[in-house]
Parts: sequence; structure tokens; C-alpha cells
Amino acid sequence: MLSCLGSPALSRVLSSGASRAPVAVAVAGASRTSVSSNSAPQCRTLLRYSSTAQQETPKKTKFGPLADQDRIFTNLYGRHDWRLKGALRRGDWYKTKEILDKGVDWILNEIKTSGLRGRGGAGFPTGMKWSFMNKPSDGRPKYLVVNADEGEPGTCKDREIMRNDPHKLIEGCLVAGRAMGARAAYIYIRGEFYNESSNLQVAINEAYAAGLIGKNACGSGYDFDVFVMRGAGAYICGEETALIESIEGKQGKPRLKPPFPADVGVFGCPTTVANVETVAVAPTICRRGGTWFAGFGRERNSGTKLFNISGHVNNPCTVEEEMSIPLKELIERHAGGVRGGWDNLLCVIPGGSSTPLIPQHVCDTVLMDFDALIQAQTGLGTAALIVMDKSTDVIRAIARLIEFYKHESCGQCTPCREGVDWMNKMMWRFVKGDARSAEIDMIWEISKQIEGHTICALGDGAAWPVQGLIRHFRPLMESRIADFQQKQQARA
Amino acid sequence: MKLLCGFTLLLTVALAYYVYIPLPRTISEPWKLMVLDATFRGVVKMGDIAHSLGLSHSVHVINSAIVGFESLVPITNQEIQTEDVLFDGVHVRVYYPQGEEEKLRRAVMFIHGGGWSLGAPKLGSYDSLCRQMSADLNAVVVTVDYRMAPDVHFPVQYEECVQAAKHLLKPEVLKQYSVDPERVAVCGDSAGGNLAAAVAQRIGTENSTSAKFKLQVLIYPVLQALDFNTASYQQNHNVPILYRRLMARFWLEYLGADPELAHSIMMNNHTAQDQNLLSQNRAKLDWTNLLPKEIRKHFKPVFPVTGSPNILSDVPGLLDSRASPLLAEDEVLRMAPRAYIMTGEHDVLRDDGMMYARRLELAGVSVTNDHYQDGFHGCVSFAFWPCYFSVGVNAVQNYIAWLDKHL
Repeated sequence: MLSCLGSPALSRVLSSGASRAPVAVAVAGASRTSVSSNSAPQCRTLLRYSSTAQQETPKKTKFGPLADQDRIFTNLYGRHDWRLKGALRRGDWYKTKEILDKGVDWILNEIKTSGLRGRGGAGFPTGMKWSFMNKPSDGRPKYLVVNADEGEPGTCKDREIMRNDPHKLIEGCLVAGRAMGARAAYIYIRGEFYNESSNLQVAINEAYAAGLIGKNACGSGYDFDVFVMRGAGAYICGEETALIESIEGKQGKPRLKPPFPADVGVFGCPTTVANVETVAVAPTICRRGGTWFAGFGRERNSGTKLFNISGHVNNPCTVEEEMSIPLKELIERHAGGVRGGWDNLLCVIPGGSSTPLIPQHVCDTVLMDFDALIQAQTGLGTAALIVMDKSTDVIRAIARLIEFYKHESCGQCTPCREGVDWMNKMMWRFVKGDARSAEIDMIWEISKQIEGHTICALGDGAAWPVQGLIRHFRPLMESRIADFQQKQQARA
Repeated sequence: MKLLCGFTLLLTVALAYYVYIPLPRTISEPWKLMVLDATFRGVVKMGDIAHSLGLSHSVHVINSAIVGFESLVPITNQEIQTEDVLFDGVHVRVYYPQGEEEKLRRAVMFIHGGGWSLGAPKLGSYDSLCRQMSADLNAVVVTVDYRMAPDVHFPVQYEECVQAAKHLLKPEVLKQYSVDPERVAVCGDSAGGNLAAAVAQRIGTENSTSAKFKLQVLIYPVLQALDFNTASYQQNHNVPILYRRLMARFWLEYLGADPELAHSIMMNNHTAQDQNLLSQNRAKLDWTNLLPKEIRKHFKPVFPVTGSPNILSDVPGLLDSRASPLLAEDEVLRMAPRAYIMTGEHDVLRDDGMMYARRLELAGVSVTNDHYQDGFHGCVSFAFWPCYFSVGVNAVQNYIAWLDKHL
């Protein structure tokens, strides 16, 4: 042990271990059990070091809770001034000129190092996506489009950013736009978001007046404009090519790819469509370093994430938490637990309405990150958790979701236009039980024919909830059919 | 006396004629390579003669020659311990450094090349390579001794590698060898790179193992059989060690197809423009899009207007992504582990590796592509006694350094 004390890496770890001691002491007043549970991991960690001469950083195995100083969004609940003055006081627009002066390659490298993956659902590595745009210009300007058309049931994180922390988004547009050589950013905001678009526009006007964007933005010599486009209420415009069509004034129907938006996007120019949260976290990553951001969450699943927790929890909320936090801990710590206790949990839709649901026994162990949820046969999506307790008629819940998707289909593709309609009819018959067991396989087959056969991913989004229901609650569906048939027999 | 001098001179001229092949200017150590290739061609010729005489399959002759030679190679890194065990019915050899059972180690699963037909993974250069990896990385190295063509055909080799991988990733096996479940890599060269890529895809998309591969290392991998006229095939079809004709024969042997088809598939008759089966696969290996211009140079795609439609129906393995990992869907590639891909400029398979690197990158996977301007196919295998090709030694050191840093 004495020989290890001289090692700087070990002393750093010891100091961080020491810094945990006051927390343990503070907890001691609350509960002795907590003290014993806290001290055991520390002992284990320290023992690992004393047994080896080689200095290897231990792999992180516990994720969450996130310390307040590590939160990127500082006004998520609107408790402080959201205008420019308040934003400056909270650290927004701090040293932005220095970030821009470091150049495109430095910014892209920081974003790549951070391992940031897109927060809108697909989870494509952001640094790589932006670097695809970092190509010599062929004469056409480049544009950044921010997808603020947040229409998924259960998802409500981007609106909190735009209403309470709009300057993070605007600064993010500038940093991201600089990284890809864009001339302007178009923020396409959902038409129903009136307060959000108002706050956002006020923030943009303030930034222009202060010289932070526009000509010679932040004194960097780089000209960058930000525009707000309000949508007209179609869910389909959350798809990137439909969004581009809508910005151009056309009907919001998805385009065939290729050509990809990175080649032919808005106004026929190279375009990157990015999520609000993805863009908003970029300046903080550049200020604090990509390795800081990569220190949270599991490998390939790094960083912090906004989680929306809604449904049958005691305290529905939006919270910024570390990626890879266990789902159970997320719900219990931040949402006050499931109504009636954890044992009353029936299932959770973990990533907004389009991701398959997972039952309680999966929720016990699953981590909230991209890869863990894919392994659990669902997805992180937008990280909007919809919690359902045992009072829920889960078949009816999924039927209601399919009704939403039927209503929102743009009608362009036959599999979606016709298939979702039929799924909707069948689902409502399953709610009553007025069906045959063979039709469960039939609707599974229909969902498989929709998935992957439409122009955009929203057909997949309609198919996956049905698949999740059948995968985990098939016995419930079958018993309801049997009950219905029994009633029919009794009546006859 | 004069007769003896004349005979000697004639023999020398004949030998020089046999040994000499025109080689690209930038290739590494050309004369050494010529001698090596002449030796190989001699062995292959002997195999063909034995085959035509009906004595034995040519592959068996070549394999016995390889085994005989590899047995002469001195064992390096003697301190590394080895044991030959069965992993779920598959023969493997495990290399591990001695001592320090307390600390968790890293693990590399190595799959040897040789066109799915040749190679002695427990002898010679592969043995030396595994020992070096084990020593330098302080890692457990598992090499898979899969059964080879012509005794077995696709998908047996692939399934054996998958079984071995799943067995290695079991918690009890990892515990037995003191392996950290988060630090396991899969590695393969040439045909082994093909199997390593396919295994990495399979383990990545399936949910049957609790641990996953963290990295994949592909050394000049062969990844597709639908285009035998990529830019690198056209540029390097006559460059040793691996000729285009030889690659076509290996593919047909692996897929259990008629060797007479070699000429047809080398002309891309199996993927002519009138083939409907190919429409969704063409984009996945469209090297005019996936390769940078300096690599493509002046070469053009070669696809006959009309071809032999029955080849694809007779040999369905050509379209199977388990045999051609480059044909995998984007959803599958997205789940693949981080990749290191080594390519050589004077290699018919250069474009396979580069296309795969590009497709992985487009799917969002982090890729490091090491390209050796003076590299040829097989340079890693010949980095050891007695050849010691400098480009091979350099390549081995570089990829082990990459593994050391990222694993």
C-alpha cells in the first residue's frame, strides 16, 4: 500500500474516495443500512488497487444519479430567467468565440470524442454525421435544420429546452453550424408549440441584438443566421425529409432516399437534420471537453440524457440523468416510484410511443441506454418513458396508439396507409375479444409487412407497439378472446 | 564437362524464368516474394498433378505440405502456456500468459485464414502470431481449429466459429480463464477475417450471449463473391500470393460448388446486369460509390449484359451474408463492434476491406482502416520465420498496438 501511495493515479483515486466519505457520513444520520451498503463498494474498489502494480482505470459499473454540477440544462423547470441575461449568468454563450476560433476540425473531434449519439431516436453518432457535411462546397450553401417537431405521444423534452433554456439551443445551432460549414439554421417547431416558439423567437432576437448570431457572430468573423419555421401540426413532419418538404412549402410527405438530405436537402442544398437536444448539448461538450461527456454512461452509450417519465408514476417529470442509469432507479428516484409500488408495475414503454413495451421482469434489470434496450427487444427512442401499472388495459392502450398512427399516416405508402388501418380495426376487436386466436398471428404478419417497407420510419413506429404487445402479452390476448367466446356461448 | 556446364546453364535459365514475375514497383521485398510464390506454385502444381492422377484431393496435398513445413518453425514466446480443448464440440487452442490469476485479463478470439481450406492454426506462423498477441497484450488468445473444405463446406466453418465464440463468451468460461467480459475481441485474417466479420455480426445482433465482442480486427478480409472485377481485382489479379483465379477457386470450394464455374464467376457472369436477384445487393458493394477516387483510379465496373442465370440458383451461398459479410443489412452492421481493418495496396481483396470499412462507417460504427501501400496478401502470415517480411512485421506490431490501446 505504501508503494502505491506515490502513484499519482492512485492518489487521485484515493482523493476521490476520500471525497465520498463526507457523503457517507451525511448519510449515516439517515440510515445505518445505507452506510454499510455505501462502504462495501468503496472497500472493493480500493482493494483492487492495492493488489496490482499496473495502473488501469477501473471500468464504471454504476450509473446515476447525476450530480447537479454535471447537468447541462440549467433551467429545465423554468425557475430562473430564461432570457439572455439569465442565460449568460448560467454560463451560456461563455467563451463561444473561442470555441468557434478553434476551428471545424477541433469541434468535430470533440463531438466525436464525446461519443454523443443523436437524441431524436435513431442514435446515429453525431460527430460522424456532422463530419459527413464537412466537405468542400460545390457552390451551394449548407443548412442546418433543427427538428423541433416533437409530436410523439409521451415525448415532451424538446419543448422544455425551447421554453426554458432557449439560448442553449441557439448557441448549439451556431456551434453545430460552424462545425459543418452551414450558413443558416432553420428550427422547425411544432405548430402547436405556441409558447415555445414565442420564447424561442424572443431569444433569437436577443441574440441578434447582442451580436451573438447574425453577421460576424460572436466576433468570430463567421456569419450565421437562425430562423424559426412553425409547422402545421402533422406528426409526419417529424420525419426528416417530410420536414424538409414542409419547410419548402410543400405537403409534408417523406421523400424517397437517395438522394439523401446531406446531398439534396432543404432548397436543394446539402442539409443536416438534427434533434434539439443533440444540438443544445454541443456547446457544453466543447466547453467542458469531449472526454468529460464520455465519462458518463457506458461505452458507445455515453453522456447525459433528458428522460420524460409519465404515466402511472407519483411524480411525472422531465429529468436530466446519466445515460445507462437503471430504469428502476430512474423511476424510483426521480418520478417518486410507480403508483402503488414497484410490484404494481405492469409494463413500460421506454422510448416514446413507437418503441415496443417491456414487462416488469425486464424493467427490473434493464439499463436506460441505446444498446441495452435494443438487447431487450425495444429501443431508447426519445427516452420518453410511459409507465403503466396493473390497472391498465394494455390491449386497449396499444389500440389507442394504433389509432393515433392511423390518423397521422400521410397516406403516401400503401403498406402504411392500408396496413395501419387494418391493424387499427383488428386491435379494437382484440380489445373486446371479438376475434380468433389465429388473428394474433395475422396481425403480427401485417406488422411485419409494414415494418421496413415504407418510405419513412414511421411505418415501423406503427408496427413496433403491436409487436411488443404480442411478444409479451399474448396470453392476455388469448384469454380475452376465450372469455368473449365463452360469453357468446352463454348468450346463445 | 561442357555438357555439364550447358545443362547447368539451361537449368538456371529455366529456374529464373519460373521464379520471375513482373511485380509492381512499390511492393515490399519483391525478390523474396518471387521465391516464396514460386515455391507455392510448385506445391500447388504438385497438388494438381496428384489430383489428376486420382491419388488425393489437391487441397490435402497442399495442406500436408504446409503442415510439414510449419512443423519446422521454431516456437517463439515459450513462456506462453497453451492447452488444446473442445469449445462446445469445436477444437480450439487457448494461449494464456502464466501467473497473475487474480487480475482480469483481456481475450482475443483468433480465426485463421487459408481460403477456408488451408492452414495449420496450431503450427508455424499462426502459432507464433498467437503467442505474440498473448505476450504483448497479456491476453488470453483462443484460436479456432475449424474443419476445412473440401471435407466440409459452408456453413459448417461459420457455425463452428459461432459455436466457439458463444462458448467463449459464457460467463463460466470467461471466469475460468480470468477474462473481463467487457474486453473480448474477435480477430481473423483473409478467410478468417471473413469468418470473424460474420461472427461479429451474428454475436452483435443475437441476444443469446450475456457478453459481447468489444472489437473486431479484420486483416485483409475477403468479404464478397459477387464482383471479381473490383478495382483491386483488376489491378492485382496477377500479383502473388493470392491470384484472382485462386480466390475464385477458394470461394467455390467453400460454397461446395463446381470448380468449373471459376471462369464464369471471374468474368462476373453470375452477376450480369440481367440478374433480378441482385438488385437490392448491388448498392452494398458498388465500389464506384464506396471507394475514394485515388483508390478507384481509372478502373470501371465489369458486368456483362447477359450472363449465366443458373449460377446464383445453383450456389445460393453467394448471396448469403453469413458467407459474404459485406452483403449484411445496415441494421446488422449498426450492431457490429468497433472495427480495425487492415488492407494492402497489392492485394486483390483490398477493395473488400475498404468497402466494408466505409459501410460500417455509414452505419455509425467506429472504424480504423490501416492501408499499407507496400502490402500484399499474406504479409502478416509471412512476418515470421523464415521470411520476416518487413511490411508484415510492421503490420503485426501496428495492429497489436491498436488492440492494446482499444481493448
